[in-house]
Amino acid sequence: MAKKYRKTFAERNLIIIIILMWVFLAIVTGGRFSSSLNITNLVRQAAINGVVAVAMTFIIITGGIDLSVGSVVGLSGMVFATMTSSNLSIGMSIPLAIVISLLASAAVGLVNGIAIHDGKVPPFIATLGMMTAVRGLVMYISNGRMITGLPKEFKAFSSADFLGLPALAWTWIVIAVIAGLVMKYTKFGRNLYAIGSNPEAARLSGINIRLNMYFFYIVGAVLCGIAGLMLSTRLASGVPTAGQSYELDAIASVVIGGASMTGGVGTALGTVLGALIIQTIKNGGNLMGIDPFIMQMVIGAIIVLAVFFDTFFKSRGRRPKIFGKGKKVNAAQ
Amino acid sequence: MKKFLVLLVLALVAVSTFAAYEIAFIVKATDSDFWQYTIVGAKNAEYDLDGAINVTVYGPPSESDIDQQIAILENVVSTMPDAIVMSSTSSDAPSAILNDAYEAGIPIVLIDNFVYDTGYTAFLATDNAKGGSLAADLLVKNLEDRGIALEGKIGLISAMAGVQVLVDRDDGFKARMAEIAPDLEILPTRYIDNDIAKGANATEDLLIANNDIVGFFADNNHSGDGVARVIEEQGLGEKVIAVAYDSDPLEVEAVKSGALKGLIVQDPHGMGYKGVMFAFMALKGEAFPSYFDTGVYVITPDVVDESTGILDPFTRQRY
Amino acid sequence: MPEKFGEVALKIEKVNKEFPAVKALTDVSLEVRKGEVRALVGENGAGKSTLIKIVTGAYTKDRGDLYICGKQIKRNSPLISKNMGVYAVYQAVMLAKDLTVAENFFLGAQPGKGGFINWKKMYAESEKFMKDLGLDIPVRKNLSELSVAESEMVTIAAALWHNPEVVIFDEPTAMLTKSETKILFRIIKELKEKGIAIIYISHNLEEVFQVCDTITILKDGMVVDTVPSNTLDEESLIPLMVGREISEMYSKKEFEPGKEILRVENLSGEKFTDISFSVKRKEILGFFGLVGAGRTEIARAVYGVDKIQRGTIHINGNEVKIKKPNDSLKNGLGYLPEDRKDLGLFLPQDVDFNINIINYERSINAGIINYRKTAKLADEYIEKLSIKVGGPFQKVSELSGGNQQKVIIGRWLAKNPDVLIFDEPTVGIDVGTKSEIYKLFGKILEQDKGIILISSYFPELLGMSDRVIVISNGRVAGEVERKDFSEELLLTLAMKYYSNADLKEEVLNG
Ligand SMILES: Nc1ncnc2c1ncn2[C@@H]1O[C@H](COP(=O)(O)OP(=O)(O)OP(=O)(O)O)[C@@H](O)[C@H]1O
Ligand SMILES: [Mg+2]
Repeated sequence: MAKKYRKTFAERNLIIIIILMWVFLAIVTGGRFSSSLNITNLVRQAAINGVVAVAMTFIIITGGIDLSVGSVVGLSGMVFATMTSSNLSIGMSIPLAIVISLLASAAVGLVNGIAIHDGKVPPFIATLGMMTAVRGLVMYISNGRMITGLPKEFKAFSSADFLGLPALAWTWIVIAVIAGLVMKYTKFGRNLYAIGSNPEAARLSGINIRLNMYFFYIVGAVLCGIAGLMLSTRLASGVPTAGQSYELDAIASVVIGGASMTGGVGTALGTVLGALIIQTIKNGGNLMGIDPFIMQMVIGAIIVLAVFFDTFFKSRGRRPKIFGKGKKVNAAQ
Repeated sequence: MKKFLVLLVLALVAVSTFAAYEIAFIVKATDSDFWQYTIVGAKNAEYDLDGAINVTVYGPPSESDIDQQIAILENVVSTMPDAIVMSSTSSDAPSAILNDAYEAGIPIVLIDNFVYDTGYTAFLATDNAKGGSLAADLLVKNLEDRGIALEGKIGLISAMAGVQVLVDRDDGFKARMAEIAPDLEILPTRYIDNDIAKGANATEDLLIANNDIVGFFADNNHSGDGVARVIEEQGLGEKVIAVAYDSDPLEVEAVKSGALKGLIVQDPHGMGYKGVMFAFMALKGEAFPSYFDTGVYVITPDVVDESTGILDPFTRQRY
Repeated sequence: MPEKFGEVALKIEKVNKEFPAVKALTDVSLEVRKGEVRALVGENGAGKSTLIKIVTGAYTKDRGDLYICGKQIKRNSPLISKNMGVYAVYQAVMLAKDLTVAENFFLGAQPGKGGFINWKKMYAESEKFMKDLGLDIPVRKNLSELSVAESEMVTIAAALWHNPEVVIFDEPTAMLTKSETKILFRIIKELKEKGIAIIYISHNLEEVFQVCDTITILKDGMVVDTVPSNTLDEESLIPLMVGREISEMYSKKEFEPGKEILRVENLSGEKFTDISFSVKRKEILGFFGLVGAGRTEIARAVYGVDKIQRGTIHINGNEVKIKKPNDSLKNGLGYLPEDRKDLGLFLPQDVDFNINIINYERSINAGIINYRKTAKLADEYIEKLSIKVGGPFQKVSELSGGNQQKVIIGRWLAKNPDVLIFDEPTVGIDVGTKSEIYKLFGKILEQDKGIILISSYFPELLGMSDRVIVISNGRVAGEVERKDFSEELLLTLAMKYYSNADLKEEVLNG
């Protein structure tokens, strides 16, 4: 008979990879990598892309893709800067400006959801259009110029620490943990996987695809809005080009994190680890003074290899033996 | 449709301002302060000439859209303007189109970036290598003033790989450094995709990797913003001397706060203004130099307050 | 083996295959000769498909030897096995859906010169080939334009096109109509006469006895026995497969029907008109009709998957508006679709997910899912339907075809709605579990619920239903009480609204 099946912990391999990378870097950089200042830097550097990647995880699990994430990052930061800058006349309070920035982001998500679900426009196309249009909107709001004069408390957030970790990193961690719990432990999360695995079967299971799709794209966009705010505290300004091409690192993080572009597969934890791996390569490369062009090649190779190993071992019906021993089976027939 | 509307508007404008010269002003990108400044210059020239010319501005959203800029140029040429003032992103791609227009008698004024294999009326640019060497001078002077020995390392943060203007700046900087401070090692260049956050990341990483860094050179405004942000956050203003190229509001703030010790600033307003003026002079048959260095300014903390017009040409907007 | 067959075409020796959670094959040995039709039978998850996939090179074996036409195959792959003349027809169509039938035949070897394809030749040759097989399928159509059954016939034809030595059929008839099944059996006979070795996998034992010469029984990945088919019958075969006797396959409990629970009045949709029927509590209402008569479409409309043009649905005497599946679920109506893989399965997810997706309300507390509770429910149905799985958290993609089906059946049994529509519930399910499912029908009725059973399999339909509604060409052709059940009557009614005389003849003969 079938042996009791132990739950696979897909993220284990990623954790092992990160540990190996960190140990390696700590050794070759003579401990500079593992200094607490650098680890602090690393998680803060990873935080903004990390939040965008968590947003992208939702979308990729639905089987879609969101190319407009970077533009939403730019939009939210720019809206916030416009609302609060002391150089401009509006001078809104920080909390209210945050709410408005996130509402603007949510609106983008809603339009994406409508175009994709009701308009039947493929996600790639719908969000490609949205990416361009929203970036145009950002340029329009700002006249293509940077906005400075943000409130002091807001700017201070990016360098603030809490329990030894930067506030930006905490923001990321809290978002990722909540996203992970929602995906795993709520009906909403289960609907996400159901729709991503088989939309027609999900519909027959009584799941309201329309509302859920709207919701996923809105959640994704709001998370990008938060990332936009994080970026503008880091930049201490609203920058019209902020967030440009962020979709690429986000997609890479999600895919390295084990998600499948065909939908139905992926976790917040995997994505967080994926984002950490990418940032570790960049940070480590800088520390080791590796040629930046070689670093680009390495990151490209890692994205493809991650997906390759994933599908390779899945298709062969076995797990990579290099990481821990394969599951032993008793011949108890 | 859109093109048609543009043509219609152009035609109307042409009729209403009878005999005014049509001057097409094509920028590399519309999404950055620098090109917005050149536009201010061009529009100021239009204002000053008081009805003698009409300046129409064109440009792709981003500097990476080279083919879009070419398409724009083609469309502009087909409307047969009286003169074209262009800052081309590519030094080769528009050659044939520009040359045809030039042969057809349209004065061509190149600004900022040269284009090979085409006839042209005038070329106005900044000597970027010279700007780089001025940055080196400024950096070393600041070190000397503080009594910091001219040894250790210098970080070089470049906005993007493969952009000629930036390569010239970096080379100019490196060459001058080798002359005046040969013991300062310049670290391998870090490229940041013109992304401020990535600029900050690279700066943080270089500071961790090398505890003997005494200075940074950032070769445009976004790389300068990134460097400044880290120096500000870590309070390194007196230990690490950072000098950057270009100007934007964040850089100006950084100079005021001391995070940056100086900016090498071109004269985008002058480029736009003089570019249009040269085109006008060509149409009028007046004489002017075929090459003109629009020059660079060195903005240090002590002059920053008086340099608003250079740092933010929008304040010079007359129209 | 008897001498009447030719030499050994396929030989498997002590083959072993282990998956992370299960040992799928243990020392399996097998010899199939030219001109022999060999049945491979066994419970869901016994290892039949795995064995086939090792022969075709889709899986690699852990140990053991494989010989095709006397040649040992050390390293196998789908390409190598094809070159050796082994072709398999899986249930899932494995052809290029956006190419024409003809192109699929010629794939990789299109006729023509200098890179130009000779379309005329291609169409002519493939048309002739189809006609010779007795198939009436347009070769110029794209595969995606054909019905499931048609494209499966094309898959079979494409295999034969390549002059195979060994042809393997893995549950080929599950999606076929009666007449197509007939064609298939005729083709198998012709192949046999040509001296081709055939392996035939099916859970339909009647078919097995009809077409196969010898039967190999697999159980838990091991060969139980290989016997000539004429030395035993269904009754004596079943215990070898499931390890126990099944005294009564269709164990129907008789109940006094209760109050009417679902009534459908004058329902019209795209493929059916004026459908009226009702289901009482403690009653199984059978639905009969030819393939394509509209039974599935009616079920889908009632459940709210497809749009209704006219008509009303009443539950417990009250009219309800059903616009989407969620509405019917809320009204206590459930639907187990026929195409369970495409309309039911969440393939990347685990068994727990697949069973609980419509049952989370049982394990949610304050919005938080309790996975101990979900797993308990999943375990319950793994047990009840003897789903062969390592536990609730194994991915359904790692389950055998029949076990995947069982998972979806379990999902609906767990939901236990007031009225449950079963659309061909036992296709692909092994006999042991079939009889368990029929027993569970009784348990459902006991709880004062109603069942609608759509089935094309007479023994099942007649064995389990209290009443049968016959659908003919999208209309209700009649209603038959249990006491009047006969295959002839049902078939006659089923043809009432078809004018096509040929069709009548064909079905009556079939
Ligand atoms: N890719 C896989 N990964 C893990 N386990 C697998 C995989 N494929 C098959 N198995 C397991 O191997 C066993 C045999 O499966 P197989 O598909 O051969 O059964 P089968 O006899 O064809 O059953 P069915 O009648 O249901 O089609 C099952 O327990 C199944 O769970
Ligand atoms: Mg099978």
